[in-house]
Amino acid sequence: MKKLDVRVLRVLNRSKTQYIAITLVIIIGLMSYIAFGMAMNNLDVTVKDYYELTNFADGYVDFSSISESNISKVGEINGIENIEGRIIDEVKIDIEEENVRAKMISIPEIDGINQLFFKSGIKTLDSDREIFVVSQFAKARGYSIGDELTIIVYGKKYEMTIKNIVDSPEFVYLIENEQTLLPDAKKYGVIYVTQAFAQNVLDLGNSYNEAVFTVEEDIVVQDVLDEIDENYDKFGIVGMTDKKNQISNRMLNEEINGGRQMVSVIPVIFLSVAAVIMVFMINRLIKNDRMMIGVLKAMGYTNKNIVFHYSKLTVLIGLVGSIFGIVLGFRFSGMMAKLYVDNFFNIPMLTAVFYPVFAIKAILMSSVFTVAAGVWGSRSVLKIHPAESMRPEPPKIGKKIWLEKFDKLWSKIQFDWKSIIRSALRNKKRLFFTMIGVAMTYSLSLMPISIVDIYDVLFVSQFEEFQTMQYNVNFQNFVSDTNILDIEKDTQASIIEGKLEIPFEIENGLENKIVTMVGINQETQMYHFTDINGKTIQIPDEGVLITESVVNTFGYQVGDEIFLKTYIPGKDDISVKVKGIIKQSLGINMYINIDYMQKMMVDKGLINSVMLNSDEDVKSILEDYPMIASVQSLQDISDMFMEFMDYTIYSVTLMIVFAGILGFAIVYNSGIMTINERQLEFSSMRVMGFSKIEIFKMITRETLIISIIGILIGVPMGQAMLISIGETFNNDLYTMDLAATPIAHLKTAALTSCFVIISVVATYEKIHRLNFIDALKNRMT
Amino acid sequence: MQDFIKVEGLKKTYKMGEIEVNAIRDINFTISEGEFVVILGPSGSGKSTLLNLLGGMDLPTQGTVFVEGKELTTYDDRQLTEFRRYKIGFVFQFYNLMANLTAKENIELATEIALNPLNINEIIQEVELDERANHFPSQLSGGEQQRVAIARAVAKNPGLLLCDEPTGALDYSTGVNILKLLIRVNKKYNKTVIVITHNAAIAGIADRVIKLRSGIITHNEINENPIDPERIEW
Repeated sequence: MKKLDVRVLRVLNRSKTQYIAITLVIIIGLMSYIAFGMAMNNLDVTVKDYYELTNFADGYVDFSSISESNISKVGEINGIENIEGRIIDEVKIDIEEENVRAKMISIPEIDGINQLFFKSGIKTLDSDREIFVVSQFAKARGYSIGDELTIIVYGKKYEMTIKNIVDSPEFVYLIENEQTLLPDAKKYGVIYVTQAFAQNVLDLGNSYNEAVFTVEEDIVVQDVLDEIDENYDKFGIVGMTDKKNQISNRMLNEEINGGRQMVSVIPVIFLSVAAVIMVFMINRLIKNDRMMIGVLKAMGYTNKNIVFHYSKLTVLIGLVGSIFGIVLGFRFSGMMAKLYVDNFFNIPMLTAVFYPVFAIKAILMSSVFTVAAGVWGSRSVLKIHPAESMRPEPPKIGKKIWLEKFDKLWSKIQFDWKSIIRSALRNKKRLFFTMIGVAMTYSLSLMPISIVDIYDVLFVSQFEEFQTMQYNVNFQNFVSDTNILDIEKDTQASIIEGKLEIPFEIENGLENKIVTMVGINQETQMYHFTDINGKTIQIPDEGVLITESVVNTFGYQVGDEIFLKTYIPGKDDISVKVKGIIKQSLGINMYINIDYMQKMMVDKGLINSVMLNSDEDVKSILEDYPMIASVQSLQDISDMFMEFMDYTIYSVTLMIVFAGILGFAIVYNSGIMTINERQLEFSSMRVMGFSKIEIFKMITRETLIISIIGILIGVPMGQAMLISIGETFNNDLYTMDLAATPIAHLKTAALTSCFVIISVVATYEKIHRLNFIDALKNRMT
Repeated sequence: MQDFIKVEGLKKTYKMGEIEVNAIRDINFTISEGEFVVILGPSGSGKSTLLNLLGGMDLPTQGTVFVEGKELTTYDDRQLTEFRRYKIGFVFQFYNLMANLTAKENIELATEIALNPLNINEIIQEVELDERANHFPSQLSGGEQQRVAIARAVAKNPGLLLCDEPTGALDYSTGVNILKLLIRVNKKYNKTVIVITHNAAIAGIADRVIKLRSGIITHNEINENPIDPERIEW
């Protein structure tokens, strides 16, 4: 090994902690890149394989009722590959004191569309009283094969036996609807029944109420849906969805896309920070090695040789970081992918593809950053003149700092504070970097801390400020509003209001989505509408209020006319004028005067939902009401939310640890550089009688001042980062108003201070080891 | 016989802020191959500047320097680096060893870039460091460090050894040993050795003594009877 290379290893060994801190930053950057990147790719591939294996549908058309022959007619549309009729409806599961519901679906044909995935066991239902249950639901409720359960369909109970536990590509992410915050497999599941049973209990004869289809290659599903709508509305279409908007598939794709965006940002942040630290570190090292570089030049070493020598330091750090980052990244990618397919989603298989390209990209990224840092950091080698370097470097010109212009103020500052302020202000580049480093640590910590708060705010703003009802009671169909009186009486409701919820299809340009229009009383006490400036607004007599998510998706503004396609048989499509834009954290909706809506869409006095507040056990009271499809309480949502928060805490902790390592690497390295730079000064002070603790205090004060400024910069920086992340994640399910709360800022400031204090304490070791006699020797050996 | 070193009309002026410092003013001399030369002068006389110009570490303001018939003063940076690499061995007052390399590794650092290096083990034996070869500079005494520095300079097998106050940081007896070593190197390997010093006592061991004062040569003569370093005192 070349002797200069031996020196590289020994230099690294001498300042292990410093280099380990930088290496950790690189490791985290690359590990996250590979682990997340590969997990996202594998999730994507797995989903595609799963969809292919199970023949996942490209489109869904809901009918009030459609015969087999008419389904075949629809199937003749150009581009449709296969079409199947099926029966689907919401049912209750009869469990005492619990409101458990499920989607009941007739089992697909063997080798048909949306095939069920069986891990083992029986794949057919022999009797009408046998069912399959989706695995999330079975797991959450502890169901096993052979268990009996009672389902309630339109008030009638049916005893069923679980024949097998299955998975379905349709319910990879099992949430009831777009208004539901999170999956709650304990309260909402999916069961599969025989076609005959479903037709029988829903009184459909030989008909179906949904058609699922796949399209031929290169066929645009929306075009097919448009054609179906145009030609077969007469069959009573009540809703349409394409694969892109199928809720489970959409959530899955949003997760993959969001994850991929994170993958492209994280390594750049971490590698940039590592590179900047290395530039400062090499710069400092070269200043220390000035005379040695002169000797090397005197011996005949070229500038290139010497720049290479110092660059090898950074490249070696990058190499070690890359090796660990790649190994750990690959190691964790499997775990991450498994976590996604098993926990976040429910996919019964995992296609684990090894992507060496991630390792290659990681090495390339690391090489670019570390080589650049090495060459840039060691460029000052070129300026070192061998003859001049043999003489001790003249002291830097001690210019006054700007603060000294204020004589009265400056004269009142004690000597040690003067030294601290001068030291900080004379090394502006490092001062700036350390401040930005602390600010970045603050910003990165603010994100996970705020996520907890943001979800909290999201919950409060949606379920305590925007909606104030304790219960939502949904009917199976349109009912007369006279039912309100009965329910009011039975539940002793303090407030009760009827509601009309009808889904419409909105199409604007390339965007096409089902949006539920909610008709409520103008004087509603259950909703509090505010415009985007937070000003209270009321439901207009005519026209609609739209949520911000409608604006974001379709671009509508106040005054625009929205064309709404309806699926209510016999009703014409309508158009309504936008009268206002409102804030709503969850879901995509339009709100309208219920009288106006009844007039347009159904008969006067018809509703399909009731909102109420009551201190009674509403669920039990309404359990046997024949027309009620579901009763949802705020408590259910709150419980689900708390469960989700427990889960989130792990990823939040991990992100905070990453931010902490970043902060440590920056502050610790900056502290060590300060000590190295001022070694002579500190040694002189030691000779004069200053204790190690007194010197340590001086460094600590300097670091703390810089850190406080860094934290102050971090407040707007973190806020900006939150907003940009919010924009990435906002969709029509969540509209996050990502403003960190003062409490979140306080928590983040405390946490960042902890990281700074740990880093400062770690630098004490260097002060402790400072040999002031050696340091006062003016020569290198 | 061609002069090994020929210096003609050499001037070196530094700018220190607004002030011009004439470190070397119109110097002329020649040195033959294999000579042991002592350049003597007080602090600020221009000794180190002259050494730097002879070693290709600096370029003059005016004048020419020829080493082995090649005019150094026309060399560009790359040529000067090559010149130092293959033709020159430096020995410094404060040794300037690499703190992170052992004695032997410090010597190897030089041989790695040499065209025709000497045998390292032989050199280590020559400087009597066999037992200390694997020690780091911080584990060596000043005299031992300077012996390593000399070994490092010689091991490259250069024609010219330039020594800047090689005994300046050493006590008397260690200094004498170092001078003896330099003479041994000069004789055994036939190296031209130039020692710059402010210590007049050292002049007695040289084949040629050049005295400098305020950038001018005040004395340049051959010492017909160089004495053994053991016989000098300071």
